[in-house]
Amino acid sequence: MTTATSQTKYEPVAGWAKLPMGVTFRGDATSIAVDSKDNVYVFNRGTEPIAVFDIDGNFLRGMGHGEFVRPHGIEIDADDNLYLVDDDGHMIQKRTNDGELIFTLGTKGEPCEWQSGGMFNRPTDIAINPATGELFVSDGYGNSRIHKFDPDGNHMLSWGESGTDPGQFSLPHNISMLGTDKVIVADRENFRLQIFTTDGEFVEQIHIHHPMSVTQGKGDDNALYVGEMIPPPVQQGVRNLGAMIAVLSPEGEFLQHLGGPLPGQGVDQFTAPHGVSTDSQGSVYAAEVAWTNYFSSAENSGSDTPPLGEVVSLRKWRRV
Amino acid sequence: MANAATSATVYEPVPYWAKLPHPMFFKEATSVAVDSNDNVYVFNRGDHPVIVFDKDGNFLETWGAGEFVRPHGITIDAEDNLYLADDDAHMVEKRTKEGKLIFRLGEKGKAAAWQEGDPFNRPTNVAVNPENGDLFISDGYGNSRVHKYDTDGNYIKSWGESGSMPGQFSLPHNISMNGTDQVTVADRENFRLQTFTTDGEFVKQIHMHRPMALCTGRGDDTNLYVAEAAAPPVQEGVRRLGLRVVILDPEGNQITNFGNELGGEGHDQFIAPHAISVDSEGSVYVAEVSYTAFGSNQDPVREVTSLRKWKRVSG
Repeated sequence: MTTATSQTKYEPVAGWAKLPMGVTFRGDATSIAVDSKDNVYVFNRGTEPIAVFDIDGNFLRGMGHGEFVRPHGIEIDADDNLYLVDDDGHMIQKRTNDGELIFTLGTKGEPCEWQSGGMFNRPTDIAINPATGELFVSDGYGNSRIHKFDPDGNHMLSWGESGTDPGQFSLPHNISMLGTDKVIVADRENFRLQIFTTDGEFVEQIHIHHPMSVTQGKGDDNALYVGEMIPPPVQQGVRNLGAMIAVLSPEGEFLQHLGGPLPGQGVDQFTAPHGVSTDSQGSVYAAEVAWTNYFSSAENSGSDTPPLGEVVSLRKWRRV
Repeated sequence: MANAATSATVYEPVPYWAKLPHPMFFKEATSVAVDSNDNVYVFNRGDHPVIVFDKDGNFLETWGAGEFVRPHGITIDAEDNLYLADDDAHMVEKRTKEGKLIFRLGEKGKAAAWQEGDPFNRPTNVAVNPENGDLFISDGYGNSRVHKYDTDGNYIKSWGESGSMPGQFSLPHNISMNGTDQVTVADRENFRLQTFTTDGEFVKQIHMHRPMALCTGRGDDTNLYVAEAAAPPVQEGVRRLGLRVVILDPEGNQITNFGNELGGEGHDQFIAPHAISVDSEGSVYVAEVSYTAFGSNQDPVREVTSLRKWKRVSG
């Protein structure tokens, strides 16, 4: 698949994921990853924490029931192993494609001291270097840090502290490889992406609206896909502010937006694109924290009566 | 006149600078401007909306009682006339420094349609071109727009819409001239400054942490002084996130900054910096909405410091 441009056309696929009766994403889809066969893994807060679909959205299997505290981020390596980031579990698990545990980073349920820079305090996401198998963990809600590990999970290096200057973070919420020699971090509450060498040296920052998620395309598609969060409450209801996916060139040049102009349940909208991934055909998947977003919206704030069925928290936009 | 600040410039907070005649109070200062004699005008939300001090913080006079709905922004032109932006009144007034009304833009209490682009829906601030007196108004809480007027208050043009792309705004909260041929806007909820030509053509953006306010220095000091707001609640208590003053050169490169790593009531801390101004000695005044951000949440509610002076002591 060629790299995305400003002319590339996408169209939303209504009702893509087919959920067997009894399987639900209630409580947020949160994150998504696509394996080498274009199967799609949704790490979610519903009945089957790891729900697997084929490229057409047919349900293949569910895993991990009862084994996670709060799913947050998922990534897949070149050998189709899974990496699962559990923020309230303060841990990252590496599992085989069938869900068998390979190793755990961190101790389940035991955070390090808040903002101490240790490992971990509500980690958010992970990136895997396809060239070396090295791991990069963004950490997170209670830290302002990137941690680097070798392929066996041995700690190599950490960098970052809280702040707004280059190399500092305000809620590093997502991380992706950028080629094989750089990583890119969604520095969410700093409204920017930050790019580092794999040794943690700051390269550059890219200003963007409230980035929740970032990923680079697969194969020859080296475009960046960035999920933008809604604005703060003071700007609620104002058009063209987040709740979109921005497609950027690898250099950070803006190409196009998917979704908008307002958050919503419509087939061509987003509410909270929290995890984003692409497949070998260049189609884009977004997992959303739509339930969390539902209760924080102006019209539903304070509500203790959730909708009876689903709210949309998983989207596919097919590249056409 | 002070020369432009450098990375070696040292600022020190001046504790208890403003001396308020008992029982006058600010509630919160909201905005501040300095005239050609280095007198300081504080547009505030107490019972005395405009209070004037000399540069040592001695009270000079007050006016405007009962004449404003919600003070938000104050600017002074080269002739020491004042421009007062009242957001909930949806108006901007030009007054003499003694408080006499010269003209009013907008109709007091009457808002334009929300986010439709017409003047005004909760305007936030005014910039005045020192060369020709043209006015630039950031608008605001209920619009995503900059409006340009001539020196007599005749409407010239407007630009901007909501969004996060260049030339779009998410709460244009403050505006300043940048020389005589450019204006810079504090695009608050987009975490950036945007610079435009005086005809509204986008020039560039500068990434910042939630910029609330900005101004330029006086005379030869063409630097930009920017006050950054606190992080959102999810990051409460985390160090080095806003609540400081950042000084940039006219191209947007950071020269220096000051303020504690954490917000608070201490003399070197900020709570909610909302407006900024610089005097001829290069000292910096910051007005804060610290009642809205902090005092109103205390039990019992109380006024907390909302006006700070940081004296330029060397460099």
